[in-house]
Amino acid sequence: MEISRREKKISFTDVAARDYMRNLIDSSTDAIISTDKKGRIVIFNHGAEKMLGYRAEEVVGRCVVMLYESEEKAKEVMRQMYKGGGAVSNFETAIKAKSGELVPVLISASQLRDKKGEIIGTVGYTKDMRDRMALEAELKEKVRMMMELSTPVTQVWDGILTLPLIGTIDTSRAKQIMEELLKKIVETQASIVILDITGVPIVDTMVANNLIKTVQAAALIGARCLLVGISPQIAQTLVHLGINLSSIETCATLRSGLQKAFDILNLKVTEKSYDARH
Amino acid sequence: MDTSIFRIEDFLIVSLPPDLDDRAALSLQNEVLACIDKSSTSGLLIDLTAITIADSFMVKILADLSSMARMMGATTVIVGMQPPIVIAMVEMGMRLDNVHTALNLEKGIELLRKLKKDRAK
Repeated sequence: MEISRREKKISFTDVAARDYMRNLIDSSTDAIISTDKKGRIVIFNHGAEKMLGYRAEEVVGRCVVMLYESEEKAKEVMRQMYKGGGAVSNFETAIKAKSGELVPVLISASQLRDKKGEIIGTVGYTKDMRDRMALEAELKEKVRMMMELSTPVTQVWDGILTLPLIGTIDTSRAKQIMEELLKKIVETQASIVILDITGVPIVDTMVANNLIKTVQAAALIGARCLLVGISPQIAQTLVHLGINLSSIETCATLRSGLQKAFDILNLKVTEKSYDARH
Repeated sequence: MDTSIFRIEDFLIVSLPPDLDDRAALSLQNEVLACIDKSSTSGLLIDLTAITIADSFMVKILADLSSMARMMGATTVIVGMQPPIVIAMVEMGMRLDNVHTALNLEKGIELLRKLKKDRAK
């Protein structure tokens, strides 16, 4: 009597534990797929059903290779697992949904062993990367847009271009600025370029070198560069760093730069006479 | 290979062909200097519009030619340099000291006239 009650208790706990485990597996938003040692699917949780569009009944008992694009892709994951001593984490690959769509995923998989250490199968945790990929693509597009916005070369007058620079100028941006500026000079045949660095917070040796290179390039192509927007702080930094900008024409403000450009082109801005106004 | 050399006023205008090799560049140098020698020339205008690739040898030829022309009394203005060449030159640190540049032929001639006037002062 005593024994049977205990047995009953044990079997009850067994069932509860199994339900609990089942719950645990199914509640995961990631896909959890386990196989036996022959590669046939044993567990296919809710996360997997949702991600791939199969019902568990449709795939349990079938070979896991069916979820990959090709047998080679499946083998690749296995190879990685052997290489990692029976486990692989965050391996980037793609698996095939029921609709035929290839889902980009990160797979973490490991071998399952019994008490004697024999391999009895594998289990894989698969993370859907579609959202992440979409975000990354969006981010790349944004960066490209920002790069485009960052070199707004505008023609302010016949033969005068301005380029207001904002933000830090690193090497890749300096290269882009130079290319864009030269292209625009050839396009508009402008003979004067006003480089406005009011919006550049830090001018160090590298930035100064990049600016000098840009000015030299513009000079070679036949345009004269005026560097404007040199604040007191920047002037102080440049002198303290020992950077010699004497080869470049500089002005304090965009206004004085424009005035100088007009002077060079022999232009004069005058107020309209009283008669012309009325 | 034929390189076109024109004369406007007392300026010499040299337009380089797109496929200028090293030997042709050297013979061009001789030809241009001979032209300067033949009749009085105050300005030399070299048009690089057609040139899309330039190496350090080419840059040296141009720099040399301008120094030689100066010794013979002609100021050099280079026009129509293409952005890829300019970027390559700046990145490699190649310099064209004492050479004037202009965007196009018209501005080049304008510059030569101005330089001539400045010198006359």
